[in-house]
Amino acid sequence: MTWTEEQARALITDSGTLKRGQELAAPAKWQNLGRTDTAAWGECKGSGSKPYQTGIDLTEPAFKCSCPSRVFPCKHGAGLLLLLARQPQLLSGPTPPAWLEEWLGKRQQTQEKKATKPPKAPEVAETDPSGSSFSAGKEASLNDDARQKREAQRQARMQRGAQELETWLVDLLRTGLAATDQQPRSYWETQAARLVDNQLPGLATIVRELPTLRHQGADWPARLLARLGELYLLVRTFQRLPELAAEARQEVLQLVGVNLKKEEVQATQPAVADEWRVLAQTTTEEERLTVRRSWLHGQHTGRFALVVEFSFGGQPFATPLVPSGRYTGELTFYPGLLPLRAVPGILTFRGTAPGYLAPASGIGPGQLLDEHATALARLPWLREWPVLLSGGIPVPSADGWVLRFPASPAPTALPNDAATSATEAIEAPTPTALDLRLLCPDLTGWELRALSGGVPLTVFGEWTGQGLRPLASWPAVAEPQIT
Amino acid sequence: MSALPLAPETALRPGADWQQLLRVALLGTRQSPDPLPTLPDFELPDDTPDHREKQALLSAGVLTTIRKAGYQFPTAPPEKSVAPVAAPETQEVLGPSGTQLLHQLLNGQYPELLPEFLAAAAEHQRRVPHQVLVSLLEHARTRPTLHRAAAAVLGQRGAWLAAQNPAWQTLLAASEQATDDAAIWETGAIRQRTFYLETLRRHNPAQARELLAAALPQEPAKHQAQLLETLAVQLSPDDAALLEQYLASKSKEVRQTVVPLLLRLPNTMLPERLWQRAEPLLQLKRTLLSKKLLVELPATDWDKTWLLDGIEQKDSRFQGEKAALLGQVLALLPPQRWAEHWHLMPANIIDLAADTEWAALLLTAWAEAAVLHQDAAWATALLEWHYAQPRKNALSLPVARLAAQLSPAELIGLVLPQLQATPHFATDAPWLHLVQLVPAPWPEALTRRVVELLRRALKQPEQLHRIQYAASQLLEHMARVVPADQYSLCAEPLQPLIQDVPYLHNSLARLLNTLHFRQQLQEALHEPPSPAGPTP
Repeated sequence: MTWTEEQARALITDSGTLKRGQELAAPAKWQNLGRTDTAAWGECKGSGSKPYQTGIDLTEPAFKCSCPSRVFPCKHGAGLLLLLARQPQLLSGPTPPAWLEEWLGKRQQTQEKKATKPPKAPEVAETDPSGSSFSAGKEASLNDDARQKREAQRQARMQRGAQELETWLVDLLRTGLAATDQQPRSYWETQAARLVDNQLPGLATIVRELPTLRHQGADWPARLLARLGELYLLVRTFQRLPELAAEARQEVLQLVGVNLKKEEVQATQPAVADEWRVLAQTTTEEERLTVRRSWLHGQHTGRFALVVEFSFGGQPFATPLVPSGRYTGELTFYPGLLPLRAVPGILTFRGTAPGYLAPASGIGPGQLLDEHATALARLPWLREWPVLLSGGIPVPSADGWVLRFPASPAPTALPNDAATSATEAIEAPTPTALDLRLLCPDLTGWELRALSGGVPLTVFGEWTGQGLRPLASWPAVAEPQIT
Repeated sequence: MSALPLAPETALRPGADWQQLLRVALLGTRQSPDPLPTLPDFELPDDTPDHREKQALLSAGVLTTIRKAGYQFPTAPPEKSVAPVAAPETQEVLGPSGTQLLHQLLNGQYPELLPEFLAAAAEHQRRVPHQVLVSLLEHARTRPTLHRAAAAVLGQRGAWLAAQNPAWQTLLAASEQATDDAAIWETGAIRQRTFYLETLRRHNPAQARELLAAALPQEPAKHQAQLLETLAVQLSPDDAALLEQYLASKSKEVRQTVVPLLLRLPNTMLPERLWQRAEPLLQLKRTLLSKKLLVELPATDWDKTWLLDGIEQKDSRFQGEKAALLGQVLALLPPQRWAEHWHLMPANIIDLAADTEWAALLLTAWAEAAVLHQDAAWATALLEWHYAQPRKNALSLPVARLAAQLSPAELIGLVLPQLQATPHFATDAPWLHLVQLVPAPWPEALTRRVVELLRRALKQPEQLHRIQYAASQLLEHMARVVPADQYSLCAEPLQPLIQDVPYLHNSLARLLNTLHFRQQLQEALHEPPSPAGPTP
C-alpha cells in the first residue's frame, strides 16, 4: 500500500511536530531505512550519541520511537512517515530489525487480547473535555436506586438552572437591549458560570457568545435579539422535557450540554453502513487540544455525517480518517431531530478518491434554501447545514467573496414527463443572477477562483443561513491534459 | 415546497413584525409602551407571570426562525462587463512530485532553491498547478526578485488570476516591464528608469545615449551617477564624448562612475594623460644579474588638473597624500601596460614590487587595476603570489574580486594545486578561502578532492572542535555549488560519518539533504504531468 502526503499529514496531529518532521523527511540523518507491507523503520541521528530507533506499524498506523518525546508521532515518526510518502524507494531494507519485531509482536499480543474482550468494552475513552457524562455506569444494576436518585437530583438542578436563566432573560428584556452595551463582562460571565454550575454547559456557551455579537457590526441589536429568542425557545422546550418525543428529548439534552458517550451512542442507536467519502477535514488547535472535524458523505445513502475528534497533547486521533479517503463500514449517528454528528465504527480504508473528481449530487441554490427551511422546521436551533452546491462561480464583490449563480434562462416548454428530475422541479428559473455569500478569508476566495477559472465549481461547505463556509471544492472541468 | 405547519402566508408579515419587536426590545419592555406584534398560534396565556417580557422573547425566537427559513439570496449586481473565463492552458503542468516539492519550497524549505527551480520549470515549459497558484503569488508578492521567475510559470490560469488582484498585478508587470513602455522613462522611479535604459541600451545603444544626454542635466547628482552607469551596457567609443563631459562633474560619485568607463574605451585621452603621470615614477633598473623597481612619489601636490584625470585629493585605500596620488594612478591604468613596457611577466613585476618598500601600495593598486580592467592574467598572478606568502605577512588583497576575473576553469586551475600543496583540512589552509570562491557548478574533480579532505578531517573527532566553524562554512557553500548529480559522490563517503561528528552533523545533513532535494527538483522537470486535475 502506498501512502500519500495528505494521508501522512492527517496522521500528524501537532503542527509543531509536522514542521520538525518536514525537516527530517530527507535522507541524510537516516540510516538502515526499510519497510515491509505492514511496517516501516529507520534510525535517525539525534543530538545524542546513539541514533533513535523509529518504527511505524502501518496497519494501524501506530508509531514507536526510542526518543524521549511523549508526542505520537514524534518528529522522527513524522519524518519517517513523510519520507515514506514522498520517496518510498529510499526505504529499501527488506528485513525488520529485531527491536521492531519485538515491538510489533507485543502489539499483536495486546490486539489479540483486545479482540477476545467483549465487543462492547469501551475502546477509547471519550476525550471531549467539556461537559459531563449522561451515561449510566457499569455498576448501574448494582445500585439502581442510588443511581436513580442521583439522576433525579441532577434533573432538578438542571431545571432550576433553566428557570434562573429564564428570569435573567426576562430582566434583560425588561431593561432593554440598548442597556446591555454598558454591561461589564461579568454580567454575562456570572450567568454563564451559574449555568455551568447547574450542569447546563451548552446553554452557558450560548450566553458567552452573546457579548461577542456586539463586535460583529452595526446590526448587533437585531443579532442579539435573534439569539435571545432562540435561547428562550430552547429554555422553554427544556422546561417541558418530559412531554417531548424521544428524539426531540435527546436533541434538547445535547443542546443544553449533556454529553453522550460514544459507547452509549453505539449501544443504543442503529449503525448505518455505507461507503463513506471524506469531503472535508478541518483541524483547529487550542493550546494543547486539537479538534478535528471531518465531514463524510455516504455514497449510497447520500447522508452527510460529521465526525468530531479530539486529540490532547499530541496523542493520535481515534480514527485515521484522511482527506478524500473512502471507507466502507458503519457510522452511528447521535440521536436527535436531525442526526448529523456520528461516531465511526470499524471503517475499512478503500483508498482515496481522485481529488479532482467532484462528488455527484450537487444541488443548486433554490434547493439549498428549500432543504434548509425543511431542516429548520425540524430543528429551529440548527446552526450549520452541510451542502454540496454546484453551479456557482466564485467572484470577488464589494462585501467579500460570493458564489455567483448565473441567471438561468426560462424553461422551454418541455412536456412535463417523468424525466423532469426533482432538482429541476425545485430549481425554478432565475431571471437574474444570484449571489451567495462566502464566509471565508480573502485568500481562500482567490484559491476558489484559481480553481474555477471563471467556470462554475462544485463546493462543499456549511450553510449558516446567511452564508456558506466553503470547506472543499472541485472544478467542473479538471485541468485539461495536454498530450 | 413541502407542506409546513405554518400559518397562512397572508397572516405573516415577518419583516415588519421584527422591526416592531426590535424597537420594543431595544428600549426594554419597561420603557416602551408600544404593542408587541401578534403571532397566531404563539401567544402565551394572559395569566403568565412576566407576560410581556416572555411574549417578546417567544416572538423573537419564532420570528427569527421564520425569517431564517424564508431567507432569499440577494440578486447579483448587473455585471459591468462579462466576467472573462480563463484561456486554456498551453504548457504542461508539473507532475505530482514536482507539485509536492514546490509546496515544500513555498513553505520555506531550502528557500535559496526556489528561484532556480522556477526558472528551470519555465525553461522546460512547465507551469504550476491551479491549486498552488495562490500560494506562489502570495509568496512572490513581497519578493521582487522572484517576480520574473514566478510570472513565467503561472500559465494561462495564473496570468488570468493575477490580473484580477491589484496586489499581484505588479508581479505580472515584471515580466512585461522590459518592453517599450516609454512612460516609465518619463515618470518612473529611478530604479525603473535605469532598468528601462539598460534594456533599451541592449538593442538600441545610440537612442539610449540620446535620451540619457538630454535628461542628465536636470537630474540630481545621485541619479546622474546611477543613470550614467547604464552606459556600461554595450559601451562603445561613441559614448566617450558624453562621459568626458561628466569627468569634471562637481560630484565625486559621478566622477567615479565615469572614470572607469572611460578607461575601458580605446583611443581616449585619459589613459595617455595618466600614463604620462605614472611612467616617470616607476622605473625598472636592470643590472647584469638582477632587476630592481624604483618608486618615486609625485613631485607636485594635488591640484584641480588631477581631478580631470580622475584622481581625487584623498583616497582611503592608500596612506599618505602623495602615495594616494600614485596609488590612484596605478589603480586606473591597465596593469598589462607595465608588462608590455618592461617586457616582463606579471609575476616578475609582482615579485619586484614586493621587494620594494612600497609593496603594499603597488600591489593594492594593481589588484584594483586588474579588477577594473578585468585582466585575468594579472588577477591570477596576484592570487598566486598572495597564496604563496606565509599567512602572517600577507597583504589584504581583494581576493574575492580578483577571483571573479578568472574563468571557472582558470580558478579551478589555481585551486587544485593549492589542494595538492596543503592536502589536509586546517583553518589556515590557503585553499580553504579560495575554494569557496569557485562558483557553481563544481567539476567532479574538485568535489572529489574536497570531499576526500573533509572525510579525512571528520574521521578525527578529537580535532572537530577546531575546524567546526570553517568546515560548516565550507559545507554550506558546497550545498549551493555542487551539482545535484554529484549527490552520491558526496553522500557515499560522508553520510556514514554523520552519526559521529558531534559539532557538524547538522551542516553535513544540510549539505546532503540539499543536494538530494536538488536532485529531486531536477527529476521533477522531466516527470509526466499530473494525471489531470487539482486536489481540494
